[in-house]
Amino acid sequence: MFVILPFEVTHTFENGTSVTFPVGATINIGKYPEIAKRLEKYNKKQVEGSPQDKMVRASGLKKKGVNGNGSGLGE
Amino acid sequence: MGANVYLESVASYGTIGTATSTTALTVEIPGRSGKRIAIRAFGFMAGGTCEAVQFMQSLGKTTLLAVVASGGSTLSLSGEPGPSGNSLATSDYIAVIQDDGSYHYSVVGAVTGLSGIVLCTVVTDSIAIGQTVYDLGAKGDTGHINWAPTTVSVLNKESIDGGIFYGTEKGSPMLFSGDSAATGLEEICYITVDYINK
Repeated sequence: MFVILPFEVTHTFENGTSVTFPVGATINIGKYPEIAKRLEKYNKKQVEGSPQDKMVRASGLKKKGVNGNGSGLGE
Repeated sequence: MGANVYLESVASYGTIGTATSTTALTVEIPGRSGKRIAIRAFGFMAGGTCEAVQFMQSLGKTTLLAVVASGGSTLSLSGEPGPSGNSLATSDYIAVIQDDGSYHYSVVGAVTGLSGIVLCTVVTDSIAIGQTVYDLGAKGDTGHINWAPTTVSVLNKESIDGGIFYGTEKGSPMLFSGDSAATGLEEICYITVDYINK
């Protein structure tokens, strides 16, 4: 599976050699399963938002400033 | 990369040598029109020092503003190729597409505005207005893929079907930069490239 990395990541091989991929690098994460796991967490966080966002959604309250008319509740 | 990725062509590049006080070890990985570089396999062995090596990517690109005759060494650019905060400068590597389709690599020897980019290596074919100039920057610049070995005289190698990592876009070149001239010794390097259609 090929992905464009949204973050810089370093992978260290058993012999100590390390590789650092910069932001924007396109890599085959099939070769680097730990990068795949980190990417999965990253993507999940992007979808779900921050812990604060999740609390706001769960409470049913609007976040201040959302749509330009937030009540301030839920902050 | 998704579906319908297929192999357009293959190539291998490499070198066996030793960096000297004046010459760093590099391997040119030229782009190909309409194709994207996929590094399928490579190996390198550190010599007397364990300096990191880099697959230098294109950090930006621009076009030529004036014709360059074969044997010429001065480029006039239509714009700044480098990313914000990393303007083209002396000692940067660039690659320019010549009229015969080849990629000409050179270190930048001097920069006097965008109309005075002086190359250390003269071009080997004429270059028309509008041809693409890629800025590969300098070793150590942000944006390159960095491999840091810890043991000398050990072959560090990687390979995977479909490629390990890829060029920034179709046509974009790369440059493998081994040991720098200052520290000497990087003994061997081979690179196998798949040129793909995506």
